[in-house]
Amino acid sequence: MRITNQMTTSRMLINITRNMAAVDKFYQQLTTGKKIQFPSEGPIIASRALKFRANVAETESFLSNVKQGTSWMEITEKAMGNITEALTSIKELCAQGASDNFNIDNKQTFAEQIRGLLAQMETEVNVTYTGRYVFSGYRTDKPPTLTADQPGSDYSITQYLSSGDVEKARLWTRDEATLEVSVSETYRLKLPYTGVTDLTELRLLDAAGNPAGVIPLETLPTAKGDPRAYNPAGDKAYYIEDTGEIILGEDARNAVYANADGSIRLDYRKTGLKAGELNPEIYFDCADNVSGKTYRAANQDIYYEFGVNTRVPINTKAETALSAAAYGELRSMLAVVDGVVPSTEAELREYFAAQGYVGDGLTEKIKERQTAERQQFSGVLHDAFSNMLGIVEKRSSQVSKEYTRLGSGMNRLSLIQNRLEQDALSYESLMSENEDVDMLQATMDLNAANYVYQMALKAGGSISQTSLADFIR
Amino acid sequence: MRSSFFEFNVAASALFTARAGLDTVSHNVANASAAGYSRQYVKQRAAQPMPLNNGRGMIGTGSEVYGIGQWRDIYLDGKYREKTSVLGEYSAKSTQLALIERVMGEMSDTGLSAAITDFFNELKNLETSANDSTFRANALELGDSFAAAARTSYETLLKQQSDLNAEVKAVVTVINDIGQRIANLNDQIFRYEIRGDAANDLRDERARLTDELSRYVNIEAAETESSEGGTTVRRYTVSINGHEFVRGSQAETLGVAERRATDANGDAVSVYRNPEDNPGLYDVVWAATGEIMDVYHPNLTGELRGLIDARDGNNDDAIKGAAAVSYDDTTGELVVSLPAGARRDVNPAGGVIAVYDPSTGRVTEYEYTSFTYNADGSTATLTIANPSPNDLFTRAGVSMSVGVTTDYKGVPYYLDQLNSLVRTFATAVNYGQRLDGSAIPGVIGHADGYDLTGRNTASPLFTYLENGAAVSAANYDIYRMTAANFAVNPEIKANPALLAAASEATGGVSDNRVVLSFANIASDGSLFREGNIRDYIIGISSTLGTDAKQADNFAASYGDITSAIDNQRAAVSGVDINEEMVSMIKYQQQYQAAAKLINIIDGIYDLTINQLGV
Repeated sequence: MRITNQMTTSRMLINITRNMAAVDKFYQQLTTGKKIQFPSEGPIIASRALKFRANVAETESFLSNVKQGTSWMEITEKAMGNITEALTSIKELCAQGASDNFNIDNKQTFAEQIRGLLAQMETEVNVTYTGRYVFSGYRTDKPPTLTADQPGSDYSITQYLSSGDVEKARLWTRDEATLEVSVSETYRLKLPYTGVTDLTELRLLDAAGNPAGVIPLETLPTAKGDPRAYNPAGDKAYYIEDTGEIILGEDARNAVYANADGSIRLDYRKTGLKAGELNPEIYFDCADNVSGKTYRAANQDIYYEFGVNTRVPINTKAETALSAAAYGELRSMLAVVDGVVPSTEAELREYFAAQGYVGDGLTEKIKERQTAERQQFSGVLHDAFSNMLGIVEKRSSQVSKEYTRLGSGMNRLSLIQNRLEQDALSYESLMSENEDVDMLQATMDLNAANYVYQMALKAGGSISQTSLADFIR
Repeated sequence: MRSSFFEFNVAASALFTARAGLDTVSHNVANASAAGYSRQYVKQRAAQPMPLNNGRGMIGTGSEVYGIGQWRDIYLDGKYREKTSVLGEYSAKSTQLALIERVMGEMSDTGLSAAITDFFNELKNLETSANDSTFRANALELGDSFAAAARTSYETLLKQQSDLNAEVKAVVTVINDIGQRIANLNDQIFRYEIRGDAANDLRDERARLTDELSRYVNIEAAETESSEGGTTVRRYTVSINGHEFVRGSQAETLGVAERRATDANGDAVSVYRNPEDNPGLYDVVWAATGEIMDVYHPNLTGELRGLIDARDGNNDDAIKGAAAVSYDDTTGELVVSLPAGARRDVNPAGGVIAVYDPSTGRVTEYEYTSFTYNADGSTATLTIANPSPNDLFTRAGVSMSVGVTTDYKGVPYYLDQLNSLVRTFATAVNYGQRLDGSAIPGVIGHADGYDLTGRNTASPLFTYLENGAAVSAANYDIYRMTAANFAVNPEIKANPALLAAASEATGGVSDNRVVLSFANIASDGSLFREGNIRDYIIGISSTLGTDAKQADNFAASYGDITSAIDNQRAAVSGVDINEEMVSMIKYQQQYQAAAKLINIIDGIYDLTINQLGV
């Protein structure tokens, strides 16, 4: 085949261009540190690179969520810790109150301390994180216990209790006429509010939530001076308006205990909420009669995403920290203890004088009545404190179960954080392996390509120099 | 009896032939680096011999030059042109795809996949603080970035298509120009060769022009001899894909015509081959007859084909399997039934419907001036432009497709991919559904959510703009959404409290369940045929990358092939300095010998005339 100068020079040019292209390619790699600039240079590398970048960014996002969730849980943990301590102190006070070594005044002092601890628990459950109430579920702009009076409020509330909330207590009434104190053993349920209206029946629901019976309630405005109040007939059940108690007669009581697996449903209406009382929007299914909005207590778990298809709830609800039932029980017990007011000497004197007793007989009668009262009240107070002891222990164990659950939740988050941090590292390294060029390799490649290029130039320069024309005379 | 100065003439003929040889050598040397030059050689032969008087043999009368020939291999020329067309096509495609790649900019931080990742990640932040208006504003901002990225990509691609359109016109102009020049050369060559000479340099120029033309469009060039009127006429014809372009000294011209049709009222309506097209794209027409050149023919290559494919390629996405329900051939109203799953976004203005008749095996394209879907998209009504009773719609056995297909992934394909992306994304976020109406498990649509004040306004989070404002709920039609008008709902963007993050009216201000459920959109593997949304976006750019790489590879390999063929041509036609030097020496020595001979003859004559005799 003929080879002409033109062919040789054109080949030389093509080869030099090709070598130059190789030099350029390695130069680009070395200066940018990346194997490719555009997908067309390596479509598979490009598509992997995009996937890894997305994974890295996503993992960082999850890590940020983990930190947020952990902070939230830490605040919750601290509050729960304080509530547990308060409950422990209440237990101690109840133990002291249940013993016979203290008189009525002392026991009322204990009650005062318990009131202080209850106020502290109310404050703890209102704890906030970045301006949001931690125990309020999604309704983070509303506190679980009200911080101020709400005189115009009007709610229709549905509360659920269980048969285990029925307390056997000794409650007393005083006959206004005879000033005689009668103590009766009563079975009662306690509402967290006083002065609710429209409470006409107590509904029993079975374990599946189907209706299992209705107990009609008769409303009594007060128990003072009403002997029936704490001593209902067998087929009666009373609702005492000024104390917020539901007193069950024997039939009612039996029906409730027969439905032990199920629950009790109460519907009532509360107006004029005061500071320190439970916020019905957080605790109960309720309807605000002023704005017309209805609120549900269920489905208030805040989930955060910590991974693909990994969602963990990070909040604790107020009901588990300070339940409505516990609140009602504490308030009620305090009311009972404070309400113990022995008949004054003057009253008794007046009464017995009217009966016709005089002088020593009068004094004796007064003393007799006072001793009897003291004994009765002592029994009432003993029952109040020792019942409370049992109740506080039950509530305490519920709180510490939640506390444990919280701890294991935090552990879980910490494990997730570890895994995410490791994932972040491995995605970063995969991304780098895929996209980044090995600097050493690129330097060597560039040097080799450069060398080839220089050789091509040198060779090209030497071949085209001479032709026959140079040798012809 | 021989003539008196016979020897002089013989020697002189040597001088003349040597001179001719040297002239040719110097011509070759002068043109050694001229493009397209074929080396020439002197055709030298012994002159007609004379018989000797005594009847004993013939005596030579010297040499004569009877022509100057060219070394050229027509076969290699043909091969070169064939490969150059393909090279032209793939070079054009490689350039265009590289441009599209840079526009989409997927590998940078502003690409679509980065934007969607950022948006979904910001949603993860939002879910931890759904009550906080800063977080809401941030999420909306990133949603807006994603919308802006989609819009920018779409608009730049549209601009690219319009640039391609202008390039088609430019290429057509160049083709016309070359054709005209070839025709002129044909004329010159004809005149010159009447005398019987070969117009070597003109032929070289003509071949070079034909080579140049072959890069733009594939051609067949041939010189035919035919007998006309008793004489043999040699005519050079160039055909483009079988259609005569240059015939002797006559050249046809190609023109461009915007795609328009006239509707019933006499108004001009733009005809869209693809719903996403710019209006008024060009068809290439033969100027003399107005016949539209079939640029989609499988055999057409060259830069023209590369540009057309990039401009019109829709990856075979037309509504195939349409069947005529009724046709009125006076008004042109045609009702067709569409198969299930047909695309729902055909442009309501003009378009093309293709009818394939198996009995003739041909596809006929008809233009229509309006297109309306019925309520559920199962039938459509079209108005055919220029209806006639011969139209094939109702003929038995025909199959029709609404829209015509080009089997290449050009700009319309990428536009359509972007449209599908935004439509599917918007439907998923707004209503928790896929485009086919099936629900995405675990996703609560934004329209079912409640905003910060507990209201449900059933408003979409991502919507599309018509005339600068968000489309109203009554007019909302997902198939009118394109990546060009896709946007975050401006009302929500202005007031982040309207973002419906809650799934219950009174759930609470931190209710994040709707936002939480959006994570299931990102992980739904059935959202697209290609997988989840990230796979889809990455798929767009990796398809583009693969096609661009393929075009690059083809261009590079055809570049190598053409230069190999060119080398072979150079092997035949190229000038080699050494060879010319040798020829030069040869002729020089011939000349020197002849000159010496003349001296000797002169001496003999001198002796004979001056010194012999009286």
